Amino acid sequence: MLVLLSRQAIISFTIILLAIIGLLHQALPLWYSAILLLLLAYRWPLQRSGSKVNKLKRVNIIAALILLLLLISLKQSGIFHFMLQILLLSAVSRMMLIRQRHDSHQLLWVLYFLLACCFIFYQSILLSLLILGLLLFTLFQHYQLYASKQLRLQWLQLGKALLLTFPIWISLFLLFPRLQPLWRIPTAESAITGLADSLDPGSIENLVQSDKLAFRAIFSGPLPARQQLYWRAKVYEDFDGRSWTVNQRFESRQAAIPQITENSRSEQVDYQIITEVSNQRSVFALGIPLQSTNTVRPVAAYLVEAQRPVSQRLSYQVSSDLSAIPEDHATEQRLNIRTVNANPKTRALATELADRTQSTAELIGQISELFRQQPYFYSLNPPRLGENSIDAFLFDSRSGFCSHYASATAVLLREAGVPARVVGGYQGGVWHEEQQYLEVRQREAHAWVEYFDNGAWQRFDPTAVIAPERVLAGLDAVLSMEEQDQLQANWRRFSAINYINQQLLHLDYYWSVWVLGFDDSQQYNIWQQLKAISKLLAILGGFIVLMITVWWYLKYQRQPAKFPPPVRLVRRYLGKQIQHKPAGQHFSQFIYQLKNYNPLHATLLEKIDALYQRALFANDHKALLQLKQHLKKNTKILNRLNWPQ
Amino acid sequence: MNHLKRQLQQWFRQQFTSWLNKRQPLAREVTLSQKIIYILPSRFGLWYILLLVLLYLLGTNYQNNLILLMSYMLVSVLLLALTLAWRNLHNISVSCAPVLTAYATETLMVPVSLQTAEQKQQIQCYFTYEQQPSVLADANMRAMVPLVVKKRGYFPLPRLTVHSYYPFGLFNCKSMLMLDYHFWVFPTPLPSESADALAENSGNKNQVAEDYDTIRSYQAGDSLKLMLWKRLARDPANPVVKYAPSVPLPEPDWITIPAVTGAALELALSKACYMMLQLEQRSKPYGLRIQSKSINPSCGQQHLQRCLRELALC
Repeated sequence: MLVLLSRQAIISFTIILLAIIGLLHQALPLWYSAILLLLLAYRWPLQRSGSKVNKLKRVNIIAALILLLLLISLKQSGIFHFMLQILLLSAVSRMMLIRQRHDSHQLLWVLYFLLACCFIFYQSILLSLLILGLLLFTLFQHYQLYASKQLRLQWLQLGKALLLTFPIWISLFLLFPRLQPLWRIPTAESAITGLADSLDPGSIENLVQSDKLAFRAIFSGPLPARQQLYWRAKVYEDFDGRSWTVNQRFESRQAAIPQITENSRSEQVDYQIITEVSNQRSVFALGIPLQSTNTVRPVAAYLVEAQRPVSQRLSYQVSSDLSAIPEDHATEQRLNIRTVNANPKTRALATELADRTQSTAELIGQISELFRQQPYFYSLNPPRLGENSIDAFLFDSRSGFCSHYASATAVLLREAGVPARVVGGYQGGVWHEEQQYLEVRQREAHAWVEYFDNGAWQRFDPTAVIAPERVLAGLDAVLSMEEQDQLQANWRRFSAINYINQQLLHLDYYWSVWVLGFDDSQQYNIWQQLKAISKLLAILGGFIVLMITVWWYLKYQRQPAKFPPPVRLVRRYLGKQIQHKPAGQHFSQFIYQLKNYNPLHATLLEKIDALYQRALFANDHKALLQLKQHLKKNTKILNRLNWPQ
Repeated sequence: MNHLKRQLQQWFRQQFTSWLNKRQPLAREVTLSQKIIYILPSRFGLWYILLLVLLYLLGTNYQNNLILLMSYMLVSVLLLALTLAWRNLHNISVSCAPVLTAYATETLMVPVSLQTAEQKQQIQCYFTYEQQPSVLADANMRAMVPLVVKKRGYFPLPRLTVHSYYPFGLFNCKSMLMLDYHFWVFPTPLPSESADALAENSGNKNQVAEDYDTIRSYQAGDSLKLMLWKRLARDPANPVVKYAPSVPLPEPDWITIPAVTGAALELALSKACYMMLQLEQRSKPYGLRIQSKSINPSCGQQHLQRCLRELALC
């Protein structure tokens, strides 16, 4: 059947499509967005004239050409973006030709799918609500397509219906079984954030300039001491004389997965982490991760990594042992004792220190002494270092950030014959007491050293020696005023914008925990709880069923259905007075009597009588409706009608 | 093979029809209840269900709760559409006009009326699937539903499908009703030479009547055309009209259907039908003889209906 779309519907679809193009701009090259907008603009003159219809052939040719362009740029955009581009192309070309209701089916289908894809890019609460609003708007337009144009929309009824769907929706979300990812899916290629795979002398300083959130942690027990909050993300084992890089053993996915031994349970910490998008695999854990949810897995050197690069917020649960990291592979020590032929002064110093000391612990003490006694400074803006960066730092500039100290210490240890490596991650975080979570930002990025002693990798943080406040109180405590200004933290802390921002972040946190972080283990808990109260539920359900039955019985059995509807209506609304009506009396006579007792409402009673007669004897549906309306409208008056005792 | 297939189809259709009949007994007025409302997903509804599955898979594979939430929301919309579709059709009383007549190969317009206590949306009716469905105007819930009739005769009204895509177009909510009405299909009127001649003839007779030469006094009921106006001007007291006493009452025409069968019979019936209509138009009495049966000459709509029904049943 041919039903033409109204202009309003076409405009609405165009608005939705424009919004989707805006939301998906990350997936679209600029030229492609421009083409899509041009195509949409092309639709307008046609709509205004109304007479001409775009020729299918023309649109097909245009679409084929664009498809060709997309195929050419497939390598750049990746398969997932390509899919989105094709879907958008189909939606836009459908939009160009859309005239009748039947055409809108494909368009609606693609719109729903694209709206769902928007959620892959955005999960923050504000944008999610925006997308949800768009979805509701689309649903409304969809509804309008099949609703009568003549009728005014029954908002009340629609609202009631939506209210009914809400419990279904939520219980489906809470109770419907969740599956593990069924197959590997193409992910979008995006710029990575957070710690990189190589650690230059200046890389951490750049990272801490960012105020962005890295992850949040929720502890099921008490918060461990700040000195314990070393979130390990990466281990740097290769040194080229200037910068540290991650060893290749982390590249191969079949890396020896460390056997986790059940040892001292005393120091075990359970926590949940919600990471922000980093587009990297490496995620964060404290100490030795004993067990974790299956969205992440353990890898070499007792790190954890996500199954796929983190392209959307990821939530996982870990139990950690906070003792020293064991050796995970026989070659690990050899790997971390390699030295390069650079930094001769450092080498000389290391030999001297090694000669002076008997044990590794003593050596560490000597290095700490060195940093403490010599004029070393902790600075966010260290001078640039030359080719032999360690030499330049240790003997010339003597001012550096955590990465400088970590890298110098690791090199000193290696030259002295102790296996050592640099670990990158985050230290500390901001604890929100009220919301009970630890907020870790990029500015908490940190680097420290692990050296091998007593059969395990011991942590040594040289920064704690130079600037103990960094570890105990956070970065702001050790920076000068200028440096704090540089991080733009101070003025933000006291402004109202920052307050709102912080509240939004808390809201976002709850959103992450309850909506984004909801997973099969929580679902399992809900099922368990339901099972626990199943008897109660059964009793409650039985009670409700019983109540409904009784109600139904009272409503329908008291008035046998043998009476036609007008009689039932009158009996319901005039129940009090009609008791006085003798069995043989005609309704009109009864009304006449009633009129005499209530002369004020004579006209109303007459009207009711007339409608009753028509409804009952002429089977007039309209009269029945009117009768119902009249009775309903005047319920109060009818209740107060007089009848002499 | 083909034969078997056709037989199987036939058998299924028969089973289906008898099943439908069992569920809904024949009645003049049928109120749509739960028992006779059938809700099937439309083609778009099936695509929509596919979308739900795809969104579930997308949400699962990306471990994205928001996509899962959206797919569950669309599921609840689907369920909502189901209930709204049912409520839209529920409690409608369907009936139609009592006497329906048409000529063969014409389209019979059946006036269907729906009565409800609530507002209903976008309800459509049709008899056969090929027919363009008629949309019921929302205000009065009446529609003329076309029904193509092929053969002459007296038939029961075929199954009337009342259906609606409201809301969202995801479900085709329908009810196939057997209403206890019958309709007449008369033979197609076919102009023929003899009929034209007959009509011509009776026309001539009328013209003859104009050459009146005698007059008589006016009696109530006389045509004003026959009034002698000039004379009336002279003598207003005694109006006279032209009068031709020699003209006899028009001879009644007997329409006889010859005892033939097959195509010849159909042709004869069509011609007879045409003749009958011509005579009726000129208010000339006519009678009908069909083999053993005969209907005495008369005139008027009732007589015409009676004769046409005889033709239809012949």
